Amino acid sequence: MEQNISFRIDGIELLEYAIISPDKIIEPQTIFKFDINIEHRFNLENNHVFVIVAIHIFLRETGIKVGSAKISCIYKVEQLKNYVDETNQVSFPQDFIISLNSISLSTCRGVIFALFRGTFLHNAILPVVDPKSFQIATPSK
Amino acid sequence: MKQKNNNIISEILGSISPNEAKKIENKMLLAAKIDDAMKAKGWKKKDLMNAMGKKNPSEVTRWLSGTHNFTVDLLTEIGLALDTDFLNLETTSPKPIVFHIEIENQPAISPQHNLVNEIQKGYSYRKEMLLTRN
Amino acid sequence: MNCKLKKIIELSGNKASIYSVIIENEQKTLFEIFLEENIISFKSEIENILKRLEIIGKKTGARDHYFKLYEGKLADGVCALYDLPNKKLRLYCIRFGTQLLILGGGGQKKVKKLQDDEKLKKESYLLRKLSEELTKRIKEKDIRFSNEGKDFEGDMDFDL
Repeated sequence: MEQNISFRIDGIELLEYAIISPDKIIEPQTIFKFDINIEHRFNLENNHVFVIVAIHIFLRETGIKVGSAKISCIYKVEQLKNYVDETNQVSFPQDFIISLNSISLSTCRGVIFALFRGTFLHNAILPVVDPKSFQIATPSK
Repeated sequence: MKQKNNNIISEILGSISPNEAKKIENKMLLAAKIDDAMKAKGWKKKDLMNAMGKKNPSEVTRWLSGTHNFTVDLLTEIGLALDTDFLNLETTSPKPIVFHIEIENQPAISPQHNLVNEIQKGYSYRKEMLLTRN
Repeated sequence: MNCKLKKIIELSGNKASIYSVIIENEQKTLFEIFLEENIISFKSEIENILKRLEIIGKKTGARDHYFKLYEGKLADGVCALYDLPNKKLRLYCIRFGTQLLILGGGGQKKVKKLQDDEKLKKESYLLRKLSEELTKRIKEKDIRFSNEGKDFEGDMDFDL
């Protein structure tokens, strides 16, 4: 069933960020590891979907954390309550979830670049992620 | 005619209006919910009494009887004492969904300043294109 | 006198099984007699009692706070379905945890006429005897619990 879900972006919020200077000098060729968590939260009253992306950046070699950022992309989805099932869970079509996650990740890529440019994390650009390869984790309270 | 004997119970149950039935049910369920909340805190009746500044133990007994018609104020107070919401007035949001992944970046093949050159070259090329077109 | 336990299917459910008692050669249980005796004069109270019992059987179980101890010692399980001070009727029962309830008879409370008080005394006495005998039989395994504690099985014929 082809559903065209009507939505738009309503806002971007930078919730947290941190930059942690390591002991060694960071070469431009440094490989960074990105731990990405995407949480979808919902406000039925305002038809808002919050896609909260939390990124932690590590040096791949040593595993030390060197940076982090938490960004919320706020979308307005028309008739959000239509997607809530009897167990009070939101169930969107897979394609729509992929769209939301992709748009949010790309937005974060930009925000992180703007945040960390000029620092040793200037080259720590968020890689392109295949949104289908995300694992669903148990939601945090 | 046999109906007279068997089923006085069904007859009476059937004659209770849905309004009345629901009122009775709600009172019973509320009492059960309060009792559950007390048990969750390990509280006896006197603990609840003390927490609410009541002196008469039969008040709490009445609340738990399943026959009490509570006011909103009383339910609010009991709720605060027991850390439970008996009124359920705020709509609950659906549960959050969480996705997770770990990924590494691919380091750039050429050093940074070359990238900038490349971009600039692309820009000049376009400018020339625009000039020649006209 | 001879008594038998009879399960009341209209009230029993997932949360509790509700029984009553048939005396001697009666056709009806003590509970049904209680209903008949009071339905005309105390219709709304009877309706309330009946509905509460149905909710106990089907939705909540026989939770202890729905009952009150009036006469009888704590140990014999004889209690009454909670009645507010301004209500006129009292119904005696025997509770076996939250899943088994035996309904006896009852009557009007604290009325001036001696015989009404006597009636209540008689009803509660009968139930206490029954409870004693039941407890004895459960100890001696003549009566057992079945259906995950929701039913009785065994010798349910008593001579009190």
